[in-house]
Amino acid sequence: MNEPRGSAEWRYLRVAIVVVLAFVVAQLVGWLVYRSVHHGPTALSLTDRCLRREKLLSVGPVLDDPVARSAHGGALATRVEGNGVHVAIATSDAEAAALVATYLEKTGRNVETRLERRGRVVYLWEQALAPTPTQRQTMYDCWYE
Amino acid sequence: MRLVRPHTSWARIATYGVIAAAAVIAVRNALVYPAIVGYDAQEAIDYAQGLVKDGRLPEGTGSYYTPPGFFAIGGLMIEVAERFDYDDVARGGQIVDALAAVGTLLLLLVLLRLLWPGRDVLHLAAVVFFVVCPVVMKSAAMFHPEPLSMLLSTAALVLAARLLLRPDHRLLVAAALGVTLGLAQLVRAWTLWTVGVVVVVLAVAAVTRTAERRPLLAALAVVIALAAVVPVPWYAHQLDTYDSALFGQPHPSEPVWSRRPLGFFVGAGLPEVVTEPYRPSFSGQFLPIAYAETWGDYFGVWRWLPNGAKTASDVRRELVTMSIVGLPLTLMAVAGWMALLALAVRHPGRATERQLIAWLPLAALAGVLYFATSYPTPDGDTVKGSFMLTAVPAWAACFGFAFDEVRRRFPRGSAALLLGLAALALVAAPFLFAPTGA
Repeated sequence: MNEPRGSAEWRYLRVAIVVVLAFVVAQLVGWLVYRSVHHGPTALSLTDRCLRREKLLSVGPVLDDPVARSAHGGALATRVEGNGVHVAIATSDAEAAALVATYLEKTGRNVETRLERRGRVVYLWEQALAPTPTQRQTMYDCWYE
Repeated sequence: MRLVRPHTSWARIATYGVIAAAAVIAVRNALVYPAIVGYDAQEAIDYAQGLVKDGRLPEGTGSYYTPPGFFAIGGLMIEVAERFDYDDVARGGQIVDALAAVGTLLLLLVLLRLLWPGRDVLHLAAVVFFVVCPVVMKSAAMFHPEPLSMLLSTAALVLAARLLLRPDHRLLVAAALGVTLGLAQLVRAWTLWTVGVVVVVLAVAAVTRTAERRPLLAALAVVIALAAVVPVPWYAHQLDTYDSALFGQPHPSEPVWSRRPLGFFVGAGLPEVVTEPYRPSFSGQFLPIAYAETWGDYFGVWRWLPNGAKTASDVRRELVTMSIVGLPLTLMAVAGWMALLALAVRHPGRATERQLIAWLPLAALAGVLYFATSYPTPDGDTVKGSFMLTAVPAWAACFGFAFDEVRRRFPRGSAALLLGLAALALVAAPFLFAPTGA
C-alpha cells in the first residue's frame, strides 16, 4: 500500500478547512448584507406567515378588490370559519383612513357592518353580518402594522 | 516466559463504551418509539403484512418502488408478534432496525481499523460522530428499510477495503462483496451509489496498481456480475409492471435543471436553520432541510409528537441546540471529506481504499439532489436526511480523519479538542432518546 505522507494529508486538510471557513464566512456576509438591505420582514409578510403557520389558514392574493390592492403596505385574502376577509395594510394612519373612506364610498350595501379598521390595517369581511368574535380574534392575533 | 499484553489505549476503551451505550439506546428506542409516527410507517407496515401474509407486492400504491428485502424480514416479525397475540406488531421490525444500526457501528469500527490502523482517537471520533448524528438513532427506531440498507452498504465498504488491502482469498471476498451489493439493492435503491463507488474504486485500483492488475480485474468482474445478478428478479418485476426499474413516479415535463429555482441549490436558510429548524422554514432550499433533518427533527417525526410530554417551547429549544451542536461536527466532516476527495483526485494510486470514504458522500449528495430536483414537492419531502443514511458512516470517517489530523498537528490543543467533542456529545445525548408520549 502506498501510504500518503502525514504532511501531505495535513496540507490537503488545511486547504479544505480554509475553504469550508471561507464558505461559512461568505454565507454569513451574504446574510448580513441581505438583512441590512431588507430591514426585516414587512407587516404583510408577518401577517401572511402568522395566518399560515399559527392559524393554519390558506392565504392568497386579493384579486377583485381594487381598494385593498391600492394599499401601500400590501393586501391579502383569507377565510376564517367560512367567512372570507380582505386585509389591506396601510403605511400611515392617514392612508388607512383614506382606505376606509374609499370603501364606504365605492363598495356596495352593508359595507359598514363588514368593514373594520385596527390601526393601519383595514379588514373587509365577505358576509353581510359583522364577523363573530372568534373570527375577529383570529385576525387580531395576526395583526401587524 | 514473559507474556506481552497488547496495549489497550484509553481511546479504544472509550470507543467500546460509546458503542455499548449506543446499542442500549438504540434497542431502548425501538422498544418505546411509536412505529406509526415514523417515515411512511403505515405504507411500510402494509407492505410487510401483504408480502408475508398474501405473498404479494404493492401494486402501484404505497412504497411499491421500494425493494422487498426489509419488508420480508419485517413481515416475518409481524407474523411472530401476531402468533403471540402481541398488539404492537411493528415492534419486531423496529428491533431489527436497531440491531442493523448497531451492526453498522461495529462494521464502521472494522472499516476504520482497516483504513487507518492504530489511529485509536480517529476511530473514537468517528464512532462518536456516527452515534450523536440524530438521523441514525431516528431511523433505527422506526419500521423502515433505511438502517438495513446502511448495514449492507457498510458491509460492502468493509469487504471492498479488505479486498484492496489483503491479497489472500481475493475471489472469495469479491464474491461476498458482489452478493452483499446485490442484497443491498434488494433493500433500498439508494444503495446503488455504493455499488457505483465500489466499482469505480476497484477500477481505479486495477488501473493504478500494475502489479496487481490481473487479480483486481478478475475480482472486479466477479463483483459486477454478482451485484447485477442478485437483484435481477426485482428489477425484472418492476420493469414488467411499471415504466421504470427504480422509481416510476410521474414528474414535471420540463427539463431537470429547470424544475427548481437557483435558491433551492444555494440557499443556506440563515438564520432559520439555527433559530427555527423545523417546517415550514426554508422549505424551498436543499441544504438547510437536509441539515435540519439530519441534526434535528425538521419533519416532526421525533419530537413533535401528539400528546408529547414536552411543551412546544421546550422542543424548539432542543432543536435549536441540536442545530448548534451539528455545526462544528458538520464543518469538520466536510473539511475531512474535501481533503480526502482532493487526495483521491490528485493521487489516485495512493491509499486507494480510502477513496471508498471519499466518493460515497459525493455520490449520495448527487443522488439525493437529483431525486429532489426531479420530483419537486412544496414541503421538501423529497429531501429527507434518511435518504443519505448509507453515507453517514463515510461522513463519520471523514470527521474522524479531520479531527485526528488537527489533533496530531496541534498536540497542545489535543485535550481541548477532545473535551470539546465530549461536551458536544453530552449536549446531544438527550436528543438521541426517543419520546414515548404519543
